[in-house]
Amino acid sequence: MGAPDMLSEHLPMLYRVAWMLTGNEADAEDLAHDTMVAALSSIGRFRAESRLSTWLTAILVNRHRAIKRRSGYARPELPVSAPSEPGAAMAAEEEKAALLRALDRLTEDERTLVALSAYQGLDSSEIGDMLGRPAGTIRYQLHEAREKLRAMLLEKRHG
Amino acid sequence: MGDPLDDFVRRAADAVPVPSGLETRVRATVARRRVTRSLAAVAAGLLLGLALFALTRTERPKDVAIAGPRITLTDPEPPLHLREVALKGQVTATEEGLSIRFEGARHE
Repeated sequence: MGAPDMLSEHLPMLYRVAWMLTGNEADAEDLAHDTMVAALSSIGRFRAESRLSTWLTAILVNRHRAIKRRSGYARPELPVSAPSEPGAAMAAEEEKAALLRALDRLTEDERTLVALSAYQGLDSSEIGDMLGRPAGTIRYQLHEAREKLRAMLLEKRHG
Repeated sequence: MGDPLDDFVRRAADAVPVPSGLETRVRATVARRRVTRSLAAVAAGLLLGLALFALTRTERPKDVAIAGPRITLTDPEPPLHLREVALKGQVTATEEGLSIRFEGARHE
């Protein structure tokens, strides 16, 4: 796959995973940008043992963790309520805001697990390889994180 | 159909619009870095070339100037001119010991 294909095909996915991890659009854009630039510079190191999307996500997660270790992001206030738009657009905005608020209440690690599993569809062993933990540990941590997220989303819906 | 939680997360995240200028920004950064790398490589090559040129063109001093006669292993005889020197000395006993005084060195 050439660089233009890689950019067009994977950049939206990277941006959205970055959005889930950082919780805001500006930091997500910077993180996705830096990840894709780093990936394009070191594409020669990609081995076809893993999927390209998994390799790209691993770069993104590592960069995100490095930023958090150094100084972190200046996270802006999350939207308290969804903007009032009619119909489907409002529903989509509400879902985005609800997801962002719920993710914000998870720990950094839980947020990463949810993004990799629920959004990107990676399994426990793939996530374990990426984060350097046994698949069994990931399975347990993922279960906990998902249940926490589920409870928060239900609480919001019923609250 | 998957887990409703996964469906919700995907639907909500997929609704996040990707900034329109992001792809252009990535391309511009990659292009800029390529140019920078190429320029750095050219500059490094030039510096290396200049350093090699300077090293090969520097003339080293062939001889070290030493005062006095030069003796080489190929000379059949050292070009030394040994001369006899006559000295006149006077030895005197003093309180501090012997005092030796040479006078008028004379070449013969």
